[in-house]
Amino acid sequence: MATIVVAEDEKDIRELLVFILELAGHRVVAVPDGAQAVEAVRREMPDLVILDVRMPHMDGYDACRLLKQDARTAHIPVIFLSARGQDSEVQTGLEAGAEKYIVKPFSPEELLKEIAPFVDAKP
Amino acid sequence: MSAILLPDGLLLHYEVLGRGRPPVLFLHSWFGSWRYWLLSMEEAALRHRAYAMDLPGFGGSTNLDQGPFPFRVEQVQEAVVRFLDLLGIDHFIVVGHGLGSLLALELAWKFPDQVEKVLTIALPWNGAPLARWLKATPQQLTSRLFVGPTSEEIQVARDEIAHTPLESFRESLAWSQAFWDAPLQPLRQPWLLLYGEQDPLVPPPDENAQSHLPPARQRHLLVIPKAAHFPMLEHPRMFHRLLRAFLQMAPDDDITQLRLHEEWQRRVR
Repeated sequence: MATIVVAEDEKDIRELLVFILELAGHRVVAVPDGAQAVEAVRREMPDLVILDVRMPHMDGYDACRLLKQDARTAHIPVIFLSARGQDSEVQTGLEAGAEKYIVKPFSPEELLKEIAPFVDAKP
Repeated sequence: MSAILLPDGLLLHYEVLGRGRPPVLFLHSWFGSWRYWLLSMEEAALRHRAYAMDLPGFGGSTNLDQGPFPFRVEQVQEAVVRFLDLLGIDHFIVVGHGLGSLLALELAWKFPDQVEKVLTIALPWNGAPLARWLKATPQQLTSRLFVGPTSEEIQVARDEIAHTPLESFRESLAWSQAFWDAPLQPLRQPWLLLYGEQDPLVPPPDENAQSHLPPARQRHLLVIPKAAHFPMLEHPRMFHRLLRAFLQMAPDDDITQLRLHEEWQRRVR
């Protein structure tokens, strides 16, 4: 089981992510914005962070940069969620230090496949 | 019974009725199969060739446990396109329900010159609370999907829903929940949206939510009272009268003139 911090401002999508990840046996800490994501990551020290790009208070890019600049959290992999058709977001996200992108709409199988390299080795 | 085998071994079951152009393609929802379109196909077949297919993972098409196909909605979309291509359906009207309504929109966006008009029933919109139903099984949901008296057609649909594979249900429902967080493309086709007033899965969008739906050259939203998720079965006369009027509309007719009527009216000459 891995611990995953999920930041997504859309409540329905956040619930969906929690459902899919918990069903796969992971522990999930879900928050609605980037600032709370940074707090949660520093507190939980998760195995993976999933960030939506566009969120209130602090967007996913800034949250990712903060985490990657902090020596305590820089090693934690970050995956961005991006709306389809927003190709420029992919480049910006990778420049902010993210390991991977998942484009919405995603299906449960796709999501689990994309996060597998980061969480499957966890006991 | 008809079926086509795609080159990668995916079997697609479909049924067809009637003659006449343009053909009408019916796409089902997160549960069930082509079967609940039968009455609608019979109505459409009076003037059109009517197709209803079982999407991959559902009904008589390849199911999750039958092949090497990981079920993904992208594959479902591709399968629909290949189905149309193999059957030579190059200009058509599409009617979709739930998952099928999202696929209908995708077809309309992707093939603006081939899709003549679009009818979506119970189209999930951004904010529709689909995720909460992921913890349920299709069988557990059946009691909430219909209101009013049970007809023979509703019982058939209930039986079909009970046989929906859980994986297909969850995969397609989850994908549908995540569908809308993207820039909206306008639809070039006339678009009729229909909702059941008491649908617990996809309640009718309020005015604010409607403003977030994709724009269209012509768009019209109607709500069938005292109906839940299957208005075509709960109020078949009302629905099929509307379907007939929708199918008969000329491309330049005003779609906002379409109305719901409870009873057929005698025409007075």
